[in-house]
Amino acid sequence: MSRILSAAFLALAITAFALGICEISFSDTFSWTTVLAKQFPKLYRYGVWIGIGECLLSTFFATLSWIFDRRFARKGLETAFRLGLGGMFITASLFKIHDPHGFAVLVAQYQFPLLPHDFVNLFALFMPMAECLFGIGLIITPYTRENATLLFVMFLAFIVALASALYRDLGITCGCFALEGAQDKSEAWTSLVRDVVLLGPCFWLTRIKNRSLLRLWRS
Amino acid sequence: MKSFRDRSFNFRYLIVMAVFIIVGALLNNLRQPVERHVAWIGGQEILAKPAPEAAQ
Repeated sequence: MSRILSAAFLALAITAFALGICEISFSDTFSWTTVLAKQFPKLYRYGVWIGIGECLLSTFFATLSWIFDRRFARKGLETAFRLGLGGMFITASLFKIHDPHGFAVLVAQYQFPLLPHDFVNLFALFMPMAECLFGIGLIITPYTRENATLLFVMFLAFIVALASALYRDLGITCGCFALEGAQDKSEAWTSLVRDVVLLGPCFWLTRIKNRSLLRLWRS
Repeated sequence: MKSFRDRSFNFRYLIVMAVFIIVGALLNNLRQPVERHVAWIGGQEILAKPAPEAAQ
Protein backbone atom coordinates (compact mmCIF):
# COMPACT_ATOMS: atom_id res chain seq x y z
CA MET A 1 0.00 0.00 0.00
CA SER A 2 2.78 2.42 0.89
CA ARG A 3 4.49 1.68 -2.42
CA ILE A 4 1.30 2.50 -4.35
CA LEU A 5 0.95 5.80 -2.50
CA SER A 6 4.63 6.52 -3.06
CA ALA A 7 4.25 5.79 -6.77
CA ALA A 8 1.16 8.01 -7.00
CA PHE A 9 2.88 10.96 -5.32
CA LEU A 10 5.98 10.38 -7.41
CA ALA A 11 3.89 10.51 -10.59
CA LEU A 12 2.34 13.77 -9.37
CA ALA A 13 5.80 15.16 -8.54
CA ILE A 14 7.23 14.29 -11.95
CA THR A 15 4.17 15.68 -13.75
CA ALA A 16 4.25 18.93 -11.76
CA PHE A 17 7.99 19.35 -12.33
CA ALA A 18 7.70 18.69 -16.08
CA LEU A 19 4.77 21.12 -16.35
CA GLY A 20 6.71 23.71 -14.37
CA ILE A 21 9.78 23.46 -16.60
CA CYS A 22 7.55 23.64 -19.71
CA GLU A 23 5.74 26.65 -18.24
CA ILE A 24 9.06 28.43 -17.66
CA SER A 25 10.78 27.40 -20.90
CA PHE A 26 8.13 27.11 -23.59
CA SER A 27 5.53 29.61 -22.52
CA ASP A 28 4.75 30.42 -26.18
CA THR A 29 3.96 26.81 -27.15
CA PHE A 30 2.68 25.34 -23.91
CA SER A 31 1.59 26.94 -20.67
CA TRP A 32 -1.37 27.33 -18.38
CA THR A 33 -1.25 31.02 -19.18
CA THR A 34 -2.19 30.35 -22.82
CA VAL A 35 -4.80 27.75 -21.84
CA LEU A 36 -6.40 30.18 -19.39
CA ALA A 37 -5.81 33.31 -21.48
CA LYS A 38 -9.54 33.93 -22.07
CA GLN A 39 -10.50 33.80 -18.40
CA PHE A 40 -7.37 35.56 -17.13
CA PRO A 41 -5.95 37.82 -19.87
CA LYS A 42 -3.10 39.13 -17.72
CA LEU A 43 -1.99 35.73 -16.47
CA TYR A 44 0.90 35.57 -18.98
CA ARG A 45 2.82 38.03 -16.82
CA TYR A 46 3.11 35.42 -14.11
CA GLY A 47 4.11 32.45 -16.29
CA VAL A 48 7.57 32.10 -14.73
CA TRP A 49 6.13 32.35 -11.22
CA ILE A 50 3.50 29.71 -12.02
CA GLY A 51 6.31 27.47 -13.31
CA ILE A 52 8.36 28.00 -10.15
CA GLY A 53 5.24 27.27 -8.09
CA GLU A 54 4.71 24.00 -9.95
CA CYS A 55 8.33 23.01 -9.30
CA LEU A 56 7.91 23.77 -5.59
CA LEU A 57 4.69 21.75 -5.59
CA SER A 58 6.60 18.87 -7.16
CA THR A 59 9.11 18.92 -4.29
CA PHE A 60 6.17 18.64 -1.88
CA PHE A 61 4.81 15.60 -3.75
CA ALA A 62 8.31 14.10 -3.96
CA THR A 63 8.69 14.51 -0.19
CA LEU A 64 5.40 12.68 0.36
CA SER A 65 6.52 9.92 -1.98
CA TRP A 66 9.82 9.76 -0.06
CA ILE A 67 7.97 9.43 3.24
CA PHE A 68 5.83 6.51 2.05
CA ASP A 69 8.60 4.48 0.40
CA ARG A 70 12.05 6.01 0.49
CA ARG A 71 13.75 3.38 -1.64
CA PHE A 72 11.14 3.43 -4.39
CA ALA A 73 11.04 7.24 -4.43
CA ARG A 74 14.79 7.43 -4.79
CA LYS A 75 14.74 5.00 -7.70
CA GLY A 76 11.86 6.81 -9.38
CA LEU A 77 13.42 10.25 -8.97
CA GLU A 78 16.79 9.06 -10.24
CA THR A 79 15.16 7.49 -13.30
CA ALA A 80 13.03 10.56 -14.01
CA PHE A 81 15.90 13.01 -13.62
CA ARG A 82 18.30 10.94 -15.70
CA LEU A 83 15.78 10.47 -18.52
CA GLY A 84 14.53 14.07 -18.29
CA LEU A 85 17.87 15.85 -18.09
CA GLY A 86 19.52 13.50 -20.58
CA GLY A 87 16.63 13.85 -23.02
CA MET A 88 16.63 17.62 -22.61
CA PHE A 89 20.33 17.91 -23.39
CA ILE A 90 20.05 15.58 -26.39
CA THR A 91 17.08 17.58 -27.75
CA ALA A 92 18.86 20.88 -27.15
CA SER A 93 22.01 19.69 -28.93
CA LEU A 94 20.49 18.30 -32.13
CA PHE A 95 19.72 21.59 -33.90
CA LYS A 96 23.11 23.00 -32.88
CA ILE A 97 24.91 19.96 -34.30
CA HIS A 98 22.81 20.28 -37.46
CA ASP A 99 23.83 23.94 -37.97
CA PRO A 100 27.23 24.84 -36.46
CA HIS A 101 27.32 28.17 -38.31
CA GLY A 102 23.97 29.31 -36.94
CA PHE A 103 24.97 28.32 -33.43
CA ALA A 104 28.34 30.08 -33.77
CA VAL A 105 26.50 33.28 -34.77
CA LEU A 106 24.33 32.92 -31.67
CA VAL A 107 27.32 32.28 -29.39
CA ALA A 108 29.08 35.34 -30.81
CA GLN A 109 26.14 37.54 -29.78
CA TYR A 110 26.87 36.77 -26.12
CA GLN A 111 30.22 38.64 -26.48
CA PHE A 112 31.30 36.68 -23.44
CA PRO A 113 34.55 38.11 -22.05
CA LEU A 114 35.94 34.67 -21.08
CA LEU A 115 35.47 33.29 -24.62
CA PRO A 116 37.93 34.93 -27.06
CA HIS A 117 36.47 35.80 -30.44
CA ASP A 118 38.73 33.34 -32.30
CA PHE A 119 37.45 30.41 -30.22
CA VAL A 120 33.76 31.03 -30.86
CA ASN A 121 33.62 28.61 -33.82
CA LEU A 122 35.46 25.86 -31.94
CA PHE A 123 33.14 26.33 -28.96
CA ALA A 124 30.12 26.12 -31.27
CA LEU A 125 31.46 22.81 -32.62
CA PHE A 126 32.41 21.12 -29.35
CA MET A 127 29.71 22.32 -26.96
CA PRO A 128 26.68 20.71 -28.73
CA MET A 129 28.57 17.44 -29.18
CA ALA A 130 29.40 17.45 -25.45
CA GLU A 131 25.74 18.15 -24.61
CA CYS A 132 24.58 15.29 -26.82
CA LEU A 133 27.12 12.70 -25.63
CA PHE A 134 26.81 13.52 -21.93
CA GLY A 135 23.00 13.47 -22.31
CA ILE A 136 23.20 10.01 -23.88
CA GLY A 137 25.74 8.98 -21.26
CA LEU A 138 23.47 10.03 -18.42
CA ILE A 139 20.72 7.75 -19.76
CA ILE A 140 22.55 4.66 -20.94
CA THR A 141 25.85 4.44 -19.04
CA PRO A 142 26.32 3.62 -15.35
CA TYR A 143 28.57 6.71 -14.88
CA THR A 144 25.84 8.92 -13.47
CA ARG A 145 28.12 11.03 -11.27
CA GLU A 146 30.60 11.83 -14.04
CA ASN A 147 27.88 12.75 -16.56
CA ALA A 148 25.85 14.73 -14.04
CA THR A 149 28.94 16.64 -12.88
CA LEU A 150 29.75 17.68 -16.43
CA LEU A 151 26.12 18.69 -17.06
CA PHE A 152 26.17 20.61 -13.76
CA VAL A 153 29.26 22.52 -14.92
CA MET A 154 27.48 23.24 -18.23
CA PHE A 155 24.45 24.59 -16.34
CA LEU A 156 26.75 26.84 -14.30
CA ALA A 157 28.40 28.08 -17.50
CA PHE A 158 24.98 28.78 -19.06
CA ILE A 159 23.89 30.65 -15.96
CA VAL A 160 27.03 32.80 -15.91
CA ALA A 161 26.74 33.52 -19.66
CA LEU A 162 23.03 34.39 -19.43
CA ALA A 163 23.53 36.53 -16.33
CA SER A 164 26.38 38.32 -18.05
CA ALA A 165 24.23 38.98 -21.15
CA LEU A 166 21.37 40.24 -19.00
CA TYR A 167 23.68 42.46 -16.96
CA ARG A 168 25.07 44.04 -20.13
CA ASP A 169 21.54 44.35 -21.58
CA LEU A 170 22.49 42.60 -24.81
CA GLY A 171 18.87 41.72 -25.55
CA ILE A 172 19.71 38.31 -26.98
CA THR A 173 17.73 35.12 -26.78
CA CYS A 174 19.05 32.06 -24.97
CA GLY A 175 19.51 29.83 -28.03
CA CYS A 176 19.02 26.78 -25.87
CA PHE A 177 16.34 25.09 -27.98
CA ALA A 178 16.23 27.16 -31.19
CA LEU A 179 18.61 29.17 -33.31
CA GLU A 180 16.05 31.64 -34.57
CA GLY A 181 16.05 35.13 -33.25
CA ALA A 182 19.63 35.63 -32.14
CA GLN A 183 18.68 39.28 -31.89
CA ASP A 184 15.14 38.88 -30.64
CA LYS A 185 14.12 40.51 -27.40
CA SER A 186 15.37 38.41 -24.56
CA GLU A 187 13.90 35.23 -23.20
CA ALA A 188 17.12 35.05 -21.26
CA TRP A 189 15.40 35.63 -17.92
CA THR A 190 13.18 32.59 -18.26
CA SER A 191 16.13 30.49 -19.44
CA LEU A 192 18.14 31.66 -16.45
CA VAL A 193 15.33 30.70 -14.06
CA ARG A 194 14.97 27.29 -15.73
CA ASP A 195 18.71 26.59 -15.48
CA VAL A 196 18.75 27.57 -11.80
CA VAL A 197 15.78 25.26 -11.13
CA LEU A 198 17.45 22.37 -12.99
CA LEU A 199 20.70 22.82 -11.05
CA GLY A 200 18.98 21.14 -8.09
CA PRO A 201 18.24 17.73 -9.67
CA CYS A 202 21.55 17.84 -11.52
CA PHE A 203 23.45 18.40 -8.27
CA TRP A 204 21.54 15.55 -6.63
CA LEU A 205 22.61 13.23 -9.47
CA THR A 206 26.26 14.15 -8.84
CA ARG A 207 25.96 12.72 -5.31
CA ILE A 208 24.41 9.31 -6.01
CA LYS A 209 25.85 5.90 -6.62
CA ASN A 210 27.01 5.00 -10.11
CA ARG A 211 24.85 2.33 -11.74
CA SER A 212 22.86 1.80 -14.90
CA LEU A 213 19.10 2.29 -14.91
CA LEU A 214 18.57 -1.45 -15.46
CA ARG A 215 20.73 -2.31 -12.47
CA LEU A 216 19.01 0.37 -10.42
CA TRP A 217 15.62 -1.36 -10.84
CA ARG A 218 17.02 -4.87 -10.47
CA SER A 219 18.59 -4.08 -7.10
CA MET B 1 38.76 4.33 2.26
CA LYS B 2 36.11 2.24 0.56
CA SER B 3 33.58 5.04 0.69
CA PHE B 4 36.15 7.40 -0.82
CA ARG B 5 36.71 4.93 -3.63
CA ASP B 6 32.95 4.64 -4.13
CA ARG B 7 32.66 8.40 -4.54
CA SER B 8 35.74 8.72 -6.74
CA PHE B 9 35.59 10.15 -10.20
CA ASN B 10 36.16 7.95 -13.23
CA PHE B 11 38.56 10.08 -15.26
CA ARG B 12 39.08 7.31 -17.79
CA TYR B 13 35.42 7.63 -18.79
CA LEU B 14 35.79 11.40 -19.17
CA ILE B 15 38.87 10.96 -21.38
CA VAL B 16 36.98 8.51 -23.61
CA MET B 17 34.06 10.95 -23.81
CA ALA B 18 36.45 13.81 -24.64
CA VAL B 19 37.89 11.77 -27.52
CA PHE B 20 34.37 11.04 -28.83
CA ILE B 21 33.44 14.72 -28.52
CA ILE B 22 36.54 15.90 -30.42
CA VAL B 23 36.17 13.31 -33.19
CA GLY B 24 32.39 13.87 -33.42
CA ALA B 25 32.75 17.65 -33.59
CA LEU B 26 35.45 17.49 -36.27
CA LEU B 27 33.53 15.00 -38.41
CA ASN B 28 30.32 17.00 -37.98
CA ASN B 29 31.98 20.17 -39.28
CA LEU B 30 33.59 18.31 -42.19
CA ARG B 31 30.27 16.83 -43.37
CA GLN B 32 28.44 20.18 -43.29
CA PRO B 33 27.57 22.00 -46.55
CA VAL B 34 29.36 25.30 -47.16
CA GLU B 35 26.58 27.50 -45.72
CA ARG B 36 26.61 25.67 -42.38
CA HIS B 37 30.35 24.99 -42.18
CA VAL B 38 32.49 27.12 -39.85
CA ALA B 39 36.21 27.92 -39.99
CA TRP B 40 38.17 26.02 -37.34
CA ILE B 41 39.65 29.15 -35.82
CA GLY B 42 37.62 32.33 -35.82
CA GLY B 43 34.36 33.90 -34.74
CA GLN B 44 31.20 35.40 -36.16
CA GLU B 45 30.17 38.98 -36.54
CA ILE B 46 28.07 40.71 -33.92
CA LEU B 47 24.63 41.52 -35.32
CA ALA B 48 23.27 45.00 -34.88
CA LYS B 49 21.18 45.42 -31.76
CA PRO B 50 17.50 45.99 -32.63
CA ALA B 51 15.98 49.36 -31.90
CA PRO B 52 14.04 49.47 -28.60
CA GLU B 53 10.66 49.95 -30.31
CA ALA B 54 11.32 46.99 -32.65
CA ALA B 55 12.26 44.83 -29.72
CA GLN B 56 8.96 45.35 -27.94
